[in-house]
Amino acid sequence: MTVNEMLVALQTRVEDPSEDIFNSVIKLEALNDAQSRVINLVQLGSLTEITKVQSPCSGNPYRMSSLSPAYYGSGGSIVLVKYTLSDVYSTHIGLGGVKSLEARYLSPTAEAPYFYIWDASLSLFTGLSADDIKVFYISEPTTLMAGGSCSLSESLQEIIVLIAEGICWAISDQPSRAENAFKIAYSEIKSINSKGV
Amino acid sequence: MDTEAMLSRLSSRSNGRWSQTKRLQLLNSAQEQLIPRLNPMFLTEITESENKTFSAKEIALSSLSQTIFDDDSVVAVRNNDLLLNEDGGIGLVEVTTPGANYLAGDLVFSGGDGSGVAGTFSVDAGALDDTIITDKGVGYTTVPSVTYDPLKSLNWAKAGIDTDLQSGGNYIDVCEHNGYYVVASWEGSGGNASKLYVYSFDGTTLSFESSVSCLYAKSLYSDGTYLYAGCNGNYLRAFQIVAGTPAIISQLGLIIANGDGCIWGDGNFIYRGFGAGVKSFIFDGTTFTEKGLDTTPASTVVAIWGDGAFLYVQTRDGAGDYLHAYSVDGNGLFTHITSINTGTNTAYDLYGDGSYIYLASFTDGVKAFLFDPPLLTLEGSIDDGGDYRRVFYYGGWLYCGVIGGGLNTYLFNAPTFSNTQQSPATSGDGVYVDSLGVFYCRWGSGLTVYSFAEAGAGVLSAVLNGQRPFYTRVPFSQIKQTENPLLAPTDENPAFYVFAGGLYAIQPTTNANVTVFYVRRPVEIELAVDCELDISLHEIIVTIAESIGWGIDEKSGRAAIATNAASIVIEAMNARAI
Repeated sequence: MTVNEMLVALQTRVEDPSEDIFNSVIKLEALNDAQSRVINLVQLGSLTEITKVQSPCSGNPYRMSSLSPAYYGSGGSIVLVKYTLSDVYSTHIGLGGVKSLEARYLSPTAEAPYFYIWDASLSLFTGLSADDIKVFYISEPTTLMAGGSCSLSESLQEIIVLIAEGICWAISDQPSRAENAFKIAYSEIKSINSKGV
Repeated sequence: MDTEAMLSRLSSRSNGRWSQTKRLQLLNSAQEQLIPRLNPMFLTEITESENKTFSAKEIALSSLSQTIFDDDSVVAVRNNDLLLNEDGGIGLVEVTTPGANYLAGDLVFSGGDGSGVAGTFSVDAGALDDTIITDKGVGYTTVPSVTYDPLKSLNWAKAGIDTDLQSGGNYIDVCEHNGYYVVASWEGSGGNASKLYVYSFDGTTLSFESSVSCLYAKSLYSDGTYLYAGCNGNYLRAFQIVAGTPAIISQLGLIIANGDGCIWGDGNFIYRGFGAGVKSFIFDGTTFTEKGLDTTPASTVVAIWGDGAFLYVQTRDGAGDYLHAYSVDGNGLFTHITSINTGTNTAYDLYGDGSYIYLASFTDGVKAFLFDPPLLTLEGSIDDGGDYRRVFYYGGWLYCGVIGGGLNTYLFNAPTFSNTQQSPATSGDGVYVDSLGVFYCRWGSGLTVYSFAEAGAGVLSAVLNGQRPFYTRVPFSQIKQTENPLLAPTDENPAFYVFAGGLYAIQPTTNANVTVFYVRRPVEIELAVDCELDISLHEIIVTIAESIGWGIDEKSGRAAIATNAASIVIEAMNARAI
């Protein structure tokens, strides 16, 4: 769906065919807000269209600011880390869980490396300090503009319009219609996430 | 999104009923509400780590360099004084002091009781940055000291005062001879009043010693006993410098040698280019004797350089420039091996590093050639503008004197020239480099000495491979349980609690140096200051701001919708968190 098609769909949903209530600026804001919300709600596996791979990445810690294009979603944007030479994936562990790696039987090894994210950097626990990594991460989606296209998948574009509809109904003080739109959208997202891709 | 966009969103959501001041207040309140609700993984833009040392087992959170968000924002504490699970390797090189003016390179390890550790470092805007251990080594129980190649970067500040000296001529070549620095200056009509100038340099001050006439002097070479000058269309001359105050330079002998004034020596012979070929000479302190001659090059020889095994001779001609490779026998006789076309009428100077031969190629930049007998091949080139007149190699770096550019330096790792540095716009020619500095003939502006960037004062320190123990955070209400001997913290499993703005260690008993990982306060969102949290959170902030605004306006239905929308997103994100 193009952005123009999304705008038309939204126009229809909010029963404003001649743009008497919502001008295109407000509708585009709603669509972009909805897109941001969808990215934060769906499982990372459903965002392959904006998932990028950067390789080789060297340095420990590896600074996320080196990722290009820029990441989207702070530390939550990191999907996978894989070592370039050994082909081994690294396990993401929260900083609060690093303590558990001090047990000898959980110590990071070349075959079972770990990383945590702090201060916009990936700190690598590994026996492969010389090995570069390949970082899979969520990048910033294209801003939705008239005449443009949406960088997310078709299945998510429909949900974006639904959430934008909810935002518009809320703006026009129609809480029940807003809630209804949000409810349907979140239900669809729940179904997508339950697929567990 | 920027502040303006967030304000615009909030204006739309409120049907334009909230003033800009109110919307800014709402956005900041929303930011305050969001941060404690989110997993710190989504807040990396405002997370900090900082080394502190316990005093009486306490660290005041107010002593952190950034304002901590709240007492709950201490996410982890790591003991830096203890290492677990050591394996005899070096696991980390820490940047203790970043310093300045560095270029990336290899780490240099010395000392320690093990062997084999190796690594590299990178820089960020000239400061020491990341380090990578490429080989942990074995057998370490004490750490080696770590340095870096001291010649990795030039300090374009001049070495000291009086480093710009000029004679009114054009300084075109410089070399070191028995502790003195000798400059060939092209002076007079077509070089007919040229001189050699002798300077001394103590690491700070460049001092003029003496000069001697040397018509048409073009290039210099010292074999440690005599100083030789190649003079265009004129002579090959030999000089001596007698130490004293001042040191005096004088000519010992000369021999007619037409053609370009390029010279080189290998300890056995002095080589001189001429109209269409190359000759070898010996000098006995008084007299030059010609030993060998080769006329294979069909055009003017403009540069000669040798690596001890082979001699390389460069010609320049409108019909094509050629680099020739020779072997020279014990009698100074030449055997031509091969040649390669290097361009057209651009070749100026040759130098090598033992692996590659570098050609200063005027408007074509600098080129690298490999001689793998019997083949000469072009391995790489770079052209950063200007006219490349001279090339010199020292300490892993290439130095190029460029007219219309500056003094350019490069690393060469075939096929790539990298780490380009260029002096401030200072056209120049001959270059000589030693441990005291870079001596650069700035053509009509004298001789400048640049120092190396040792003043950068970067400090690195190695750490044995292993893990530094993290502290376990004990809820304040459960401190009593740590008195149970089975649950008591140890040095290897230390613990801390936070209470009333203080971070308290239960173990270890000593006042350890620790790294505190915490979430700091974000900057206030203002018209000219955008929200510093990740852009993915901006929509949530707007939605929370909307819910607060409607709440204030007693529009509970609209507030509830916004609150619910924000909560669902926050919960989904926290569910994703590791």
